[in-house]
Amino acid sequence: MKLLTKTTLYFVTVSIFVFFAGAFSIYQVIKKLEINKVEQELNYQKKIISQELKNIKSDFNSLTIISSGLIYIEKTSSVPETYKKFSDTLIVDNQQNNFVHYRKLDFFINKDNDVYKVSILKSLMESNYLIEKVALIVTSMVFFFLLTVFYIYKYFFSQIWSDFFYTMNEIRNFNLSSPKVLNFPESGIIEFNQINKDLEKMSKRIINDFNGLKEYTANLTHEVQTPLAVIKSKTELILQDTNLSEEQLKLAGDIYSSTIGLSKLVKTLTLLTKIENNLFIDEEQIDIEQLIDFHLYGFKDISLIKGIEITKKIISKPIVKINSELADILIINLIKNAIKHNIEKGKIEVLLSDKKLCIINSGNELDFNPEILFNRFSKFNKNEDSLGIGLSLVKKICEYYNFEINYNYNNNLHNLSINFE
Amino acid sequence: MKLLIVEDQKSLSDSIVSYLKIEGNLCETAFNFESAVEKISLYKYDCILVDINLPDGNGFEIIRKIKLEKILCGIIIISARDTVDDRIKGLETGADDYIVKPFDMAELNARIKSLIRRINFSGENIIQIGKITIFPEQFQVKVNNDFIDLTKKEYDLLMFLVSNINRVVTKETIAEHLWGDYVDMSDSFDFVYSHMKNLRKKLQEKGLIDYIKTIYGLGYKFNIID
Repeated sequence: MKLLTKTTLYFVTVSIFVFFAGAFSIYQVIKKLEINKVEQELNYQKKIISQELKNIKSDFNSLTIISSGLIYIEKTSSVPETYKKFSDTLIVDNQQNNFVHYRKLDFFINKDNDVYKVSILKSLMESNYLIEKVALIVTSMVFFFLLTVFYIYKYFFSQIWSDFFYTMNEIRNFNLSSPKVLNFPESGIIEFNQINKDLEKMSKRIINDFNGLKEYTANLTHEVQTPLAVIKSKTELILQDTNLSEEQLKLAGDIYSSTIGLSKLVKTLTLLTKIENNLFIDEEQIDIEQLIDFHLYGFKDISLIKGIEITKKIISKPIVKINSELADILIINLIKNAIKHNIEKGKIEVLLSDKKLCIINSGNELDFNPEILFNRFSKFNKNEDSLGIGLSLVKKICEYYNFEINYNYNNNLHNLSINFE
Repeated sequence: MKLLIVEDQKSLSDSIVSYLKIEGNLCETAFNFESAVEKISLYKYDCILVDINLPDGNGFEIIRKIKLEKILCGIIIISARDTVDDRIKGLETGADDYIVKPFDMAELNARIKSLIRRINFSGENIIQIGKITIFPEQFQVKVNNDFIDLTKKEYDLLMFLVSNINRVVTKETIAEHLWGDYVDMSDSFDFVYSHMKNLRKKLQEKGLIDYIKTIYGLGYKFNIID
């Protein structure tokens, strides 16, 4: 729910409740006041009537109507212990042929040893009419007021929160591939200024950290690879010495290949660190089929030497948003792995469907738990020098992009599948 | 050939000089930005090797200067930085090639030769080694005046060996040169051996025996026996 919608909803709900409760109270108060007024009038009339009745000498039947209200007098035996002074009553109006609301006042008079019950009635029609009108006016005013307040609120809302929405937009556009320290204009609201200032500081820090990390990995590579370059070049020079014995040549050769191994290891570890620290941020839409074709061409020669037949089955051509460098590493390592852990005259099948890539290759069953397959440095074959680091790179990349990766072994076939969704 | 090596790591610079001067190349060195710039403006070189990280400056600046003053020479960047961004930046600045540390001397040597061949476009480039004649522009090889039929990889392999004539070239270097990232180093020997066998056979058919000598467990050496 949007901020405006949510606050408006609260505002409207509370307003409607408060205003209608207020309107209802006003209605009740006015009604009460009106009845009080009628009762006061009735009491006044009672005084006059009782006075007059006492002064009357003649028969009661000749009594005249004193006010606009109605008076009923009847003879009773005695005054009841308790009785209601005021009550409401409905009387049929003959002229208009409908019920009219009256307020009635009952009292008793003693005259010539007789008890008379006197009832004075007063129509509430006028009062009700007034109350009705007042209620109508109050209700329409409430509606009018709500509507006005709503639009004023909406206007002020956009005015007050505009700085906030600007800030939000800037944060959303913040991108580390073209890092720019956030910079907000001065806002008239202290809290927003505070947030903006904090965000400016934070963005600066993020950019610094990011660049620092990038610099660090680059420097680390540089610092390690440079001495390795020296060792490698010196060994290569030793290898050129024609006076060396076969034994010495072999020693130099071992140093040489170990240096290559070490250099590749550093390269891969740096790569893993870079992936773990999200240093590959540029992404583009990559046609996986095209990428596979490109790399299969690179592997053509090698697979030919090993007598491995590579077939491709394309059901559909997924386009995946991924960093191009990582995409290359992913595909190369998958195919390289399938070639390396294959058998003589084996086969590799590359299956590409909507959002899934399967690499199926013939090969011997793993002699360890497949769960550690993707762990750094786990080896398929312990006799080989190579570190099983290729698959851990594959896994890291899949984790980075939330691709699901699965492995299973069936009918002497290894099946590695990656789900790009 | 006259080469300038701009590299602050003196021991690495020394190795490069030792390796390259065997063939009679004239190598000069610069250990910092200032002396590199000075040498470039004073002397003429066929090829310049530039390291990017220098104590008193940036290798890219040297390349920009060369391009600005329209000095005609090959430029190869030698750097430990191997991100795609660095490579692109290097080539965009005007370098002809980019080689990542730690590199193989044989690879560097082959790249320098290939670059020099590309630059010296005038006149036909023919490489004559003993009874072998190579026509680099046509990717063709003649032995005793007969063309021999080589696959692309066999041709690359022969070129690589010829570029590093009389040197021991390790199987790892050959594998890296031929297949780059596509080859797993632990398998390299099989792959190199397979191609080497075919190349040898094709040379032997034309009467060239023992041009390629196997250094057991290490690699190969190409030499001329006449």
